[in-house]
Amino acid sequence: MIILVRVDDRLLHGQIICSWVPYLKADALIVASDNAAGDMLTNQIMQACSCDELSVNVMKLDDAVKCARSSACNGQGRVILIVGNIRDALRLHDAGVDFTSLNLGNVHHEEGGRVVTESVILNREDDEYIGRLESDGVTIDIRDIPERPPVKHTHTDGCGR
Amino acid sequence: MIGAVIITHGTLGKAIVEAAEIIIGKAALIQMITVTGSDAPDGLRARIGDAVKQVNAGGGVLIFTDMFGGTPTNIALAFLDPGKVDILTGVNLPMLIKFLGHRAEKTLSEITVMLKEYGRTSIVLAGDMLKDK
Repeated sequence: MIILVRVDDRLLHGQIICSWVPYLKADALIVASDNAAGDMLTNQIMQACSCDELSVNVMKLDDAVKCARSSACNGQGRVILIVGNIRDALRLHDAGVDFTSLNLGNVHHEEGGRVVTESVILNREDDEYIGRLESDGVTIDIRDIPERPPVKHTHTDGCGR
Repeated sequence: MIGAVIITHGTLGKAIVEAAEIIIGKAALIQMITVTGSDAPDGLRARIGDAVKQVNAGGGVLIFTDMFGGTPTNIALAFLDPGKVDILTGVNLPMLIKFLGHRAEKTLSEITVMLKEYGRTSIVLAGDMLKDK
């Protein structure tokens, strides 16, 4: 059962392992990233974060879709699904992965964008993807760690600064 | 001489170098990188790359990070280059002081083996000392 879908450009890191996993009592992490799945070292390092209480799987986005839509996912217990950017979250959603809330943890752009929080900076494309998710009934939850109150996503006039 | 880059969440790296310098004096060929929530992965990668270049005096570079699985470590791993650049996680003060004392005479591979062990054995639970008595 997927209990959280999170966008995080750092993928698997301290905030997830040390905050979200204990907070949600998660049993498994799925990192859905074509880049990470294709990079052996990144893949190995992430797998090394697994232990008896937590399984870690790194897979290509398409494989994550298959996994999330199959009964195998239910066998993994409480699952946190992590993607590297908002576009990938929309790809999951469009491919039929069912989620009603999307957590934005770390979103940055080299060229900058609209600063929503210290760790979430959105550009015009992000706003468009979010708009599509929201129109499908997905709630956007902006916070890096669960202890912080979620920041609401507000739409801009489209200037995407 | 082996160069050092210390990459941590927040200002821990800066503080640990300041602490080491109180004990053994000013350290050269050392760079600290502070990682905060507003750092984009690409920008961080570039900062680490610059720091590694700056402290490389030909003897290789050891990158110290705070925690395996954290962003400082994850991004530093891209710079792993056996024999030239290595990454040691869980930096602590005894480990850093040991490094600063031995980096002129040891090779990178020698010092990494020593520090990994030393960082662990320098952790002592006082209660255990009483039990042994």
